[in-house]
Amino acid sequence: MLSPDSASNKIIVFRIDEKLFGGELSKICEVLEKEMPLAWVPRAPAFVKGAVAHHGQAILLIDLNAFLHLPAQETETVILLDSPDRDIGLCVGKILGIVDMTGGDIKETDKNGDEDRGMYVDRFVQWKDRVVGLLNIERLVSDIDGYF
Amino acid sequence: MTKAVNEKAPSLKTLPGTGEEGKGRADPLRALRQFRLRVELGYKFILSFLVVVIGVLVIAWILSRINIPPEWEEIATVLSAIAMGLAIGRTFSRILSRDFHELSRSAEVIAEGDLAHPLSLEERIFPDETADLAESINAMRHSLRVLVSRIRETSHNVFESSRSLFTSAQGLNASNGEIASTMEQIAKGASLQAERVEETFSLIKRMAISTEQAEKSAAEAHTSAAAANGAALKGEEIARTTMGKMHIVFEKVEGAHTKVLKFSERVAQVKKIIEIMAVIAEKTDLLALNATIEAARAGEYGRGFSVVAEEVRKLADTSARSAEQIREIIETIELESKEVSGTISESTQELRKGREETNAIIHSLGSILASVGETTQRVERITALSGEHAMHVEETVKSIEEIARVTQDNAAATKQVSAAVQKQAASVSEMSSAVQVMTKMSEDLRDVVARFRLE
Repeated sequence: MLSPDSASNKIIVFRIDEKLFGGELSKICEVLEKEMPLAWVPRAPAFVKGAVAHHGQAILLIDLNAFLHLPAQETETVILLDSPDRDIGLCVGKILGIVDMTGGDIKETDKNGDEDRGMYVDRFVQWKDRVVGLLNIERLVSDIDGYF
Repeated sequence: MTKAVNEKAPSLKTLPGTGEEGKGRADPLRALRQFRLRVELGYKFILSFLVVVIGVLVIAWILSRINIPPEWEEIATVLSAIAMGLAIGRTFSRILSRDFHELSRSAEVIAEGDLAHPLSLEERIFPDETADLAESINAMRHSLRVLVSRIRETSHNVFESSRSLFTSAQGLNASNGEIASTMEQIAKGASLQAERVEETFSLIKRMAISTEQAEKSAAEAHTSAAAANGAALKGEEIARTTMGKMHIVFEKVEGAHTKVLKFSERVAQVKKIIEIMAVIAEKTDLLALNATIEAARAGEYGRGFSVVAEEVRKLADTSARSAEQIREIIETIELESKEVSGTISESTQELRKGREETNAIIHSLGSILASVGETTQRVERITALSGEHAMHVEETVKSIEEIARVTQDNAAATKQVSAAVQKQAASVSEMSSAVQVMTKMSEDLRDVVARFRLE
């Protein structure tokens, strides 16, 4: 459904605990407002905030801070992922923008050793003098699925 | 040359203890008995010689008649003459010697001090100088009796008087002592009084100075009170003007406060609108974001829409930033207007307080005016009184000066009296010793006259 040279070249940049992260735009379905009534999900892991109803679908809200073992913060935006098995929403901070990876705004960094990236960051890029960690959304979703 | 003795007789008869009066009255031959013819002794001698001569002649005549021889006749005559002469001479001399003996005995008795017994010679028809002598002796005795009795009486009186005088002198001495001590006390009192008068004088002088100062102060106070009155009047006027101005300012400030409050309301409204704008910008941003995502997902077809969405997102971003800036500005304005409102509220409160204080000042000034009026009246009275007081004090000073003078005179007089009393005491002691001497003398005199017996 998606053209690989259009959406896959763009990332959405957001903030988690003063750190910037980026996700491929092709893996993202929609950005939601934070103000939504939450439903409690029984026997769910600690990083599951709850569930919300959106366009007749139940969406599981994942606290990305808790999942990535980062300090807790207030959720400002929910990024709805485009996954085939279940609808997952990532609770993140402010959305800073959508950046075209092919444009001149992104520079590659030399800070890409295995020890720095962890499990979910593919690589680091520089955007507006700041380092953005590009998340591997697929691995993230499959790991979350693994808990259920 | 001859004189009736009865003229002198009464002086003898009056003597006490003679008893001659009683005899004289009973005698019927009183007139004959009382007949006296004074013959002096010389004449008596002559008469007795004549009697002898006449007797011789008579004898010679008788013998011539009788016949006796002439030789016998002569012898007889001579013998008779001798006999007669002897007889007469003997009689005469006996009488005379008896009288003289009596006289000398009487003189001796008087010399011994016996004045009780009067001398009484035999009564004779022809008294002579012996009778005179007896009379004189009797007169002398009488005089001596009178003198002695008077001396006795007088010495007794002198003795009594000197005794009472001595007692009086002693009493006087005691009194003098008392007077002296009293005078001493008086002198002490006088000197103390003089000191007190001196102290009083200095006090009164100080008082006079104080009174003068008080008078000056009262005059100054009067001037000050008048000045205060003027100042208070001016102050009241100024306070009333201030009050009016404050009222205007208060109204203006209240108006400003109302405007500021309205301004604050408007600012709050603007803030609400800005908040709505911020929310709209946020939502627009989200919408633009989703549109961008959708456009990306649309691939090539969504490229144009993606550009539009990006622009919308930028606009929304700008709007959000502007709204944020406006919000910040509005918040600043709100803060400042709150401060202004607070300041105005404070000013209003201060003004209200000021108005109340000004009212209080006006009220106080009214009270001050009343007080100043009263004070002025009082000060006037004080001035008048202190003038009077000064006059009285001056008079008092004069009186005290006079008193001081009198006191000094008194002290001096007391000293003089003391000296006089001392002199008097000396005189009294002299008198006392003189009285003692006199008593002694009167006693001696009494002893001397006690020798004389009057009874």
